[in-house]
Amino acid sequence: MIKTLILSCKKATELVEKRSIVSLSFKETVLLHVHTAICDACATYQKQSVVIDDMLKQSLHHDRLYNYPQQNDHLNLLIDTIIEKIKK
Amino acid sequence: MVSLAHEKILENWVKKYTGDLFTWAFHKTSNRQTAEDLVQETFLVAAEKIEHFRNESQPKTWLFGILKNKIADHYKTAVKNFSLNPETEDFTNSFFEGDGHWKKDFMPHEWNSDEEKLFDNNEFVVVFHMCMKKLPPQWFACMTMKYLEEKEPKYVCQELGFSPTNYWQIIHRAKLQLRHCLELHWFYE
Repeated sequence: MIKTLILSCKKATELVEKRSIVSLSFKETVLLHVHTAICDACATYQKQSVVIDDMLKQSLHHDRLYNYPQQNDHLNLLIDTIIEKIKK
Repeated sequence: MVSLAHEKILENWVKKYTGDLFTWAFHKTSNRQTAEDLVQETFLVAAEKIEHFRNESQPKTWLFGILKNKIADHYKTAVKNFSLNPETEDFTNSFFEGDGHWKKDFMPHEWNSDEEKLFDNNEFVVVFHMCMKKLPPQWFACMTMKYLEEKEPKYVCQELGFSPTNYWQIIHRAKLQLRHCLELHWFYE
């Protein structure tokens, strides 16, 4: 009985990520809740998972700010390459 | 073989729409090289199909249609390659004991740092990017997809033609690797 209530840490952290994609079933929600209540490591994982999500969003934003090719040279080069390829 | 008249039209389109197409592709892939390749491929498809182009549709809309398919294909290929890779299950298992509990070295601990301000620190940004780059390209594609798509993750899965189960397992594995890399090079350094 007790055994069915206990998730492994591997399963629990999978559920943390699953929840960010689809909603968990009632059973899964309860199991995850019980697990993180007694397991500090997974509670920390859950908290840090949200932090990493924010970092990823910020990082992609950064990428766009810093790598965004504003230079016309670059665009012109791409245009020339494509025209050349079409003519082949 | 493209006729001369078609060639002229295409050339005109390339000059007119490459910028917009590139911006869109870059927004969707966050990678300059990938975005360039996708735009090139878009025009190559356009060159093949230009005979079927009807003048009543807008060239821009038509080209964007091709590009959107190309982007979807790009991610589909990435995901397909991923699920064929048997190493990933082993990879996840390297973080956990046989019974599914954390291995001692990988057990999460508090990071003891002001996480909200981390991205103001350029040194951290460098470490973070390095860790992102270490992810296998397919994982990187999935992570990027998840955070760039404004759509519900469920629809992203549908569009890519794979089940949500595969998708969150990919995210799980990528995140384990990413957090481990950050801990190694930043938090517990």
